[in-house]
Amino acid sequence: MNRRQAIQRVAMIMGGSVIGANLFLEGCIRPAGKDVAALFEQTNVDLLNELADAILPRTSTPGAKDANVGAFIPVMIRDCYTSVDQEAFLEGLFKTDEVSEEGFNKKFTELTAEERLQFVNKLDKEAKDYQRKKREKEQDNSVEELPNHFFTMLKQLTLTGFFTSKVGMTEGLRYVKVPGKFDGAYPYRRGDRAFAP
Amino acid sequence: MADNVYDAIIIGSGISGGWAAKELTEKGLKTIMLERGRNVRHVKDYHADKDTWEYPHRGRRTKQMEADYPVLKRSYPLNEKNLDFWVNEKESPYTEIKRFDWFRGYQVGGRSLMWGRHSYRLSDLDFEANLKDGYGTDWPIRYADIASWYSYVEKWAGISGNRDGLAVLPDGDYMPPMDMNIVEKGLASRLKKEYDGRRHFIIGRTANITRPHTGRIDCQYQNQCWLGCNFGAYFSTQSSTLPPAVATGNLTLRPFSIVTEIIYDKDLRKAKGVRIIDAETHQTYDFFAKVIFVCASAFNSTWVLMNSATDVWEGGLGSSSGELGHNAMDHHFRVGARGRVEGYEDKYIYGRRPTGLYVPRFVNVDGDTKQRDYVRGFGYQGAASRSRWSGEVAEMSVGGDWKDAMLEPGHWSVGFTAFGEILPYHENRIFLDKTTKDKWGLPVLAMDMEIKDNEKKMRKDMGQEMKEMLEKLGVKDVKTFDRGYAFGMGIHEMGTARMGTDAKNSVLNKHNQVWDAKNVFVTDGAGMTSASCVNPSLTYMALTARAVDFAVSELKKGNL
Repeated sequence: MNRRQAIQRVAMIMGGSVIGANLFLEGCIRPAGKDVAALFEQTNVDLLNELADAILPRTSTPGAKDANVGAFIPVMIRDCYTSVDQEAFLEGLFKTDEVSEEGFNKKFTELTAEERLQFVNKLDKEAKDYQRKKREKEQDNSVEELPNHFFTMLKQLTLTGFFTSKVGMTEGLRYVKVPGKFDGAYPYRRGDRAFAP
Repeated sequence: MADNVYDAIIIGSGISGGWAAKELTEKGLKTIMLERGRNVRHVKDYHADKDTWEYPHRGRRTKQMEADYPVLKRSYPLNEKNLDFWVNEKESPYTEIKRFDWFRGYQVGGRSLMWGRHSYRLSDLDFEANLKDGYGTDWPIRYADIASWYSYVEKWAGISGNRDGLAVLPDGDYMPPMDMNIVEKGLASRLKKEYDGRRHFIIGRTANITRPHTGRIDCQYQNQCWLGCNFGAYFSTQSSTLPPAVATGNLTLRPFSIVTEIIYDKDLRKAKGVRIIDAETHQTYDFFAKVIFVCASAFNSTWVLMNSATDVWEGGLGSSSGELGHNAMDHHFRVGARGRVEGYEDKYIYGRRPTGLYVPRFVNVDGDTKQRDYVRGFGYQGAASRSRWSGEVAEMSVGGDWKDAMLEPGHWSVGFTAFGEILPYHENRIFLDKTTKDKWGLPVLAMDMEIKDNEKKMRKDMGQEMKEMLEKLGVKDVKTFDRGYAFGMGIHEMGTARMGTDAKNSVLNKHNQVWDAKNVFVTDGAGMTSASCVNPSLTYMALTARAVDFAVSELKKGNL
């Protein structure tokens, strides 16, 4: 079963009312010839940084873009994800502007910070709904290897990328490479940052 | 002396081999230590300097790694940071008659570089277990035979721990213990009260030094041990046993030396030396010596015996009892319980302690403890901790507020995983699979073993008992877990060349000496007669030092 069939099948099982049906099915072919290598193109690294930064924006502490998560994500998608997931990720990424236009009548990068938050919030809910149904179907053994939702992968990689980055570990969290001692009753005041692992 | 003639040969350079090297060379024997893998130089070849963000995948596994390490990927060892310490499974395959997860380290230092470091003594509860319940054969030694050797190796290796005064877990010669955190202290004192002093949370007795020792720097609380420690703060061959062996001038270390057999002299009825294949050039060399220490890790030590003296015994050197390859053991684990601890919000943890708590065995211990529907028992390892909050709530699962919340610690939690004893079943065995060859054309091992009813019943208790304890202590949302166990996952392979009281029931005698070849000693996990439930490496150290002492005195008497 190819990915398209798989998605159609889930859509069928779920009664057709799914998860960014637009995002996933309608004209869901990404630009011809685009494969994982495309993720490494600067425009896509930039877009990934913008998307990731909507998930973990800069506040008084650095955000995902500060940690250059956009450069980390392509490496992980290329080396650690199945081809089914890779395809879902590429499709999702290349649909970003389309989905943005649908909701806000402008491209993602033209959205305000508040609109970006709405955008990722909506995707987050869709993705969770999709992943829940995917799990149910997989438990029934009625389908094999359904792709993960684009946003689920994006969010997980954003979190991993941020919290394992130098910026995330040393400027977001408190990092002490060589603690030199152990204190199991170290004082903590509300608002103190966590130590990096 | 010809350059291939020594007083002693050691096969393997891990925890046991390293100890054999230190002891043999310090007693004046010209010794060659043969290691099948590459050299790993202390500090220079470690990874402790590198930060997580310097790894392209931040330490995580890739598809390529999963393809190259089809077994390692079954558990936590497959990772980007210390991948070069684990065996390439394509070069060194093995056969799984039943599923067996074999996580090996073929390099100088072996798995002493990435071991768990918990260091406990066996007690007479363990040494008498086989005799009392009838599984396996009786140990040929008791605690009194090995106690002073435990002290001897603890003092050099540097074990930090508390003297808790518990019969089931004899105290040793320790450096000052690492500290419990404030939550652990509270739980430990309440547990003692709840169970009338019959159950204990104690600080792990760990092979991490807490004072400068033998030129090594005390633990700096990085908890990056398995990347190799630049301070030499945890025990490894490189940090602890190799330096004194080298200092004697009596040691020759030869990496890339795969021992293919022990050369056996039929007339003298003892070993003359060993044959090796150079792992790089594929050339064969012979080395000769008066005494041979087999420390190749439990199953590989047995592999060497099985490939030796086959013209005399079809099953190999040490097979006359019919026990060679049998009674394979491990510790079964990955079951336990955990929960949330309320309060202590104004307390946190500074430093990354490289050990946790230990819960010594409390079932089937004496007439007063509740007797179960299984024999033997289990201990637990665990900790209380306060991690970064990483949850999601309905209204906050993306965005800046969410990120800032995740930069702060969450609540305290506590969890323990049990490690249970596996009985020495004769039918749990390894044997040579001559139809499958490794990269060097050598037959591989076939693994044919499983846990049985006793272990399965124990597993239920392992989760349930901890749940009950944590609930009594007021821990909230306590849940048991069982992540499943496959033989070998404990990375505590034991048995297959057991010690025993008689040449008819065992491969080794009470000095780890092969009954069938008195100048061959096997002092790693292969010799274990039963598994106990405590981590076994300290016992290998003690048995090795003890066996060397015996071997050298026998040599001097002209008995070998």
